[in-house]
Amino acid sequence: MATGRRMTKLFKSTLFYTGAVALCLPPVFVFVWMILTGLKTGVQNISYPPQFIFSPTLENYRAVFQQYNFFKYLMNSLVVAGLATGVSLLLGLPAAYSIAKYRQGRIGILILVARMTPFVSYLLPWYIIFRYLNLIDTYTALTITHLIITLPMVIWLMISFFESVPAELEDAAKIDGCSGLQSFLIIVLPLVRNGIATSAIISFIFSWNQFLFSLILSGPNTKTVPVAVYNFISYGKIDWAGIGAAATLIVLPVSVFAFFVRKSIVQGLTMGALKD
Amino acid sequence: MKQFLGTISRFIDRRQALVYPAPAIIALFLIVVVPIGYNLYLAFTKWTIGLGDPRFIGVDNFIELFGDERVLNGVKVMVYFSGLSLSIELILGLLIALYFHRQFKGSEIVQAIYIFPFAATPVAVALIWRIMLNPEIGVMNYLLESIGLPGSLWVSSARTVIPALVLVDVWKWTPMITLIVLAGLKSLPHDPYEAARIDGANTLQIFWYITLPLIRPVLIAALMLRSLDNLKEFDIIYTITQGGPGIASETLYLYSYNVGFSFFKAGYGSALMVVVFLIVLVFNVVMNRMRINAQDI
Amino acid sequence: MQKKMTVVLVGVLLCLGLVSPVIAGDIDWMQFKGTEIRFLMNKHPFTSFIEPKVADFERMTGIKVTLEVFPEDQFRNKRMIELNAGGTVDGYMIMPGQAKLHYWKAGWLKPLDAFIADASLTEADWDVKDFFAGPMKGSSIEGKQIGIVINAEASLLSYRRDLFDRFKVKVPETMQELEQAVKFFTGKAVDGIKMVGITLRGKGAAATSQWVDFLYSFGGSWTTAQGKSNLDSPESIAAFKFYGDLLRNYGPQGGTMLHWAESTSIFMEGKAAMIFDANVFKSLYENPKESKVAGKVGYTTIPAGPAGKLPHVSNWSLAISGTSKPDRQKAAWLFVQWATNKENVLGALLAGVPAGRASAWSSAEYKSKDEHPDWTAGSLKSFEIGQPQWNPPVLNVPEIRDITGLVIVDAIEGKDVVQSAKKAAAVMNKKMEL
Repeated sequence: MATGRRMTKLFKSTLFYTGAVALCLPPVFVFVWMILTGLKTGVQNISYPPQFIFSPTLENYRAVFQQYNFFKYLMNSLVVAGLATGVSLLLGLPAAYSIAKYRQGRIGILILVARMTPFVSYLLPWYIIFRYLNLIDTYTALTITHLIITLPMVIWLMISFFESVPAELEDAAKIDGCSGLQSFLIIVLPLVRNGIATSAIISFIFSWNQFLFSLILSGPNTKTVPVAVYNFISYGKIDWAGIGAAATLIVLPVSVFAFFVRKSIVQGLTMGALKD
Repeated sequence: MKQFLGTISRFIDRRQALVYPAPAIIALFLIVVVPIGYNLYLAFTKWTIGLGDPRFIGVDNFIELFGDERVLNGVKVMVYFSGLSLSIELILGLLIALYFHRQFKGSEIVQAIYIFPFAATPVAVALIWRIMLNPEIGVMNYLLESIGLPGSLWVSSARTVIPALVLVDVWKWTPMITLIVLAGLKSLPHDPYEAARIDGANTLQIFWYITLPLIRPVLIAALMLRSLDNLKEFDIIYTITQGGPGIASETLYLYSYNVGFSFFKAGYGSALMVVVFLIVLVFNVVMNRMRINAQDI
Repeated sequence: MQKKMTVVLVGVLLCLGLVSPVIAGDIDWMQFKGTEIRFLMNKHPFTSFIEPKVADFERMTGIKVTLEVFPEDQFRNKRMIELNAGGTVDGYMIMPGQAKLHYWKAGWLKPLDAFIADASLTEADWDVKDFFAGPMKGSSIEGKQIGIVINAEASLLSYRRDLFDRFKVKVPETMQELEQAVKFFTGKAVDGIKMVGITLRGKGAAATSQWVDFLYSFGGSWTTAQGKSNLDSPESIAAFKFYGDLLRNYGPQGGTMLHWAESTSIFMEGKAAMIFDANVFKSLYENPKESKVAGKVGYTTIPAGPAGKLPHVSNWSLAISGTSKPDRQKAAWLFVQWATNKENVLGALLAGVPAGRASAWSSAEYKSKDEHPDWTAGSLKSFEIGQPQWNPPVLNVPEIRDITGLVIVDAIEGKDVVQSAKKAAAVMNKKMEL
């Protein structure tokens, strides 16, 4: 009888894990295929049936770095995403704090509306403005444009974190003689450091992945990786092997990064969803 | 000097509600309002980029828009793509979350795997999907055929292009919904479940009468979060189909891009972008209402 | 002894080749030393050829050149947005048949005639008369030269010579023969691959530049003598039908999404017996690293239709921005002149870029190295008989191409072409701007 129950349990858990593996296959497969594509030659990539087993080549990676100067683009992306995230935190933290503390829901909505605007409509005017300010092909211009995505994101994520800070703590600080600014910097911010990490990570990822603004406003000095991956499309030909290698180089750093901080990301996304 | 700083500090303290959000709002204002204002202005003009100055024509663009078949097509495609992808992402995300909502060895690994598609650069993975979905050399048809199913034309046929694009979108975003809902499930109160079990409710009943109502605000919030980007999905469609075959996957947003930048008719293109913005706005306002109502229950 | 002589001779030639632009120069190449210029380039084989050589030009002139390279779609969008804002772009690649009317009216094209005539700016040896007249006419507007041809482009029927030989199939010279040949190969298992007869571009607007050869050869045209859309004439409809049927019945799956890259890769994979596309793609087909059919391809002109053999000839040119500053325009002219000199054009031709200069094609070096005389003959024949007007004669070319492309898609899908063409003609009449 006991064995029977154990068998049922074993059967059930086998069933569960089979299902779990099945549910994890699709996300994994595309990544595997991306990596394989980057390890094949051009001919192998247009062969049918597609090859799963082949002798891999690192030639594409060599080309990506030597011919296409990919390292520079990776650095550009790193700088722009870092700057956009930093500025978003600098501007977004006080704003989110105020919105949470003083229940300025309208301001919150207003900020969200910025994210609803069709991004395509920015391209023409922004180019004209940045040209006028002589900022084309600068980190400044790219950072500013990425703010439109990252700043509302930081603010909206942080509102819920600030709301969870008990008001009593601040009152106590005030009695101890802290100014409002001091209590914000010394008491409140350390309490929401999880939230800051979370929103920094998410905003970094979205900035890293931004394509459209970078396409138009970047130049040879500031081209970011999502734009650079398009370099493998040429006259009458798509270099799938190069794309595979480049895509792996773009996706892997940010995915590995996300992997290590997944707890924060999930928390951030959930806070955003759970808040009222 | 010290006194001066003190004065500033006191001023900031007194006007916290004003001073703290001000830099962010000013920054966004500068970044957003000038271009959007320009865009709104263009929407009421006729202007071919490069040829003279925009000419004010009142609401003519908006009148033209009603007779434009491709606008109608764009709205249809948008509704089809967004409706299908958002509902699949939501339902599938919920179901998978329910599946993983238990203690088991390896839950960490699942979380790790599910974070990958969320973080992946859309343009890069869309290019990989583009070769995977190729009907002649793509691996997707190979996989179908190797398990005895007929191959599909995927994005290469007007009939299947939207479902195929939805597949990519679902692949990219369902994991995120799953993770959100999973966290939401974990934070649900235990009491209603115990009460239900005592009353002898079965699993389905518990799901329908307890879990679903409790998790609804989370679902709607996740939906809002997704719809912000989904309704103006650009990277995936632009990279994989550019709106083809023909105009079978040309969303209104993509059409507005084509009109503005491929056909260089900035005036009419701007009018289309205004419409896209209004659609996103209205959708989100409605969703927000629903969310607030869901919480009141 | 003889061997030693050869080595010496080659050495001398190499030295001459390396320094010749400076020695032979009758203009002062250093006159704009220190100027910085920026060119927007399409990711085209010519760009790949010239990019590594730019350093030579910089050394020779002291001008700093930045080439910004983008794939065609992104390239076009960026070029327009930059020029509209009066950006710092000094020169760019252009397909005059696609954009010259718009760009000319916008003032974005600098007429080059004064530069060409100026003996202090242009070497006598550069020889403007050496360029083919047709493409150079394509690169001019209102009698002014607004671009210098870097690549004359025509479309060729490329076929698997090995298979045509093996199965004793006649290389098609008429549209009927083409249909017979594609029919013969479609569905045939060859070396384990189930073949299709032909692959063509089918992706809407992208297909019109290839379909236009069928349009002309069937006796159709973009517009009537009165300047109205002629897309719904019986001849034009016949061209839509023929092209669409060809791709649907004898082409690969998913014809409506075949852009050039998809189409060429099907041919290079060895799955199609024929491909009709730009002659410049020879360098793709014949590259064994990318293609399984390298060395097995034959080339010929478009088969004759009811109206005869009427291909189009288009070109890519280097243009100088009308919004740039005068001294930079002159520096940009030095660059354009250098990039299109005899040596570079010949070099590009040897790398597979169909040249716009007669001297390159007739040079002894090219003739001795030419591995594909049928490609050379087909290209030259097409240039000779080709129609320079390959796009609708309107200002808003992309929009009209897009409208036309929808009919091609309908034709491939087997829909009612007559109705579709009528509709497109009506829309075209409404939307076309002259």
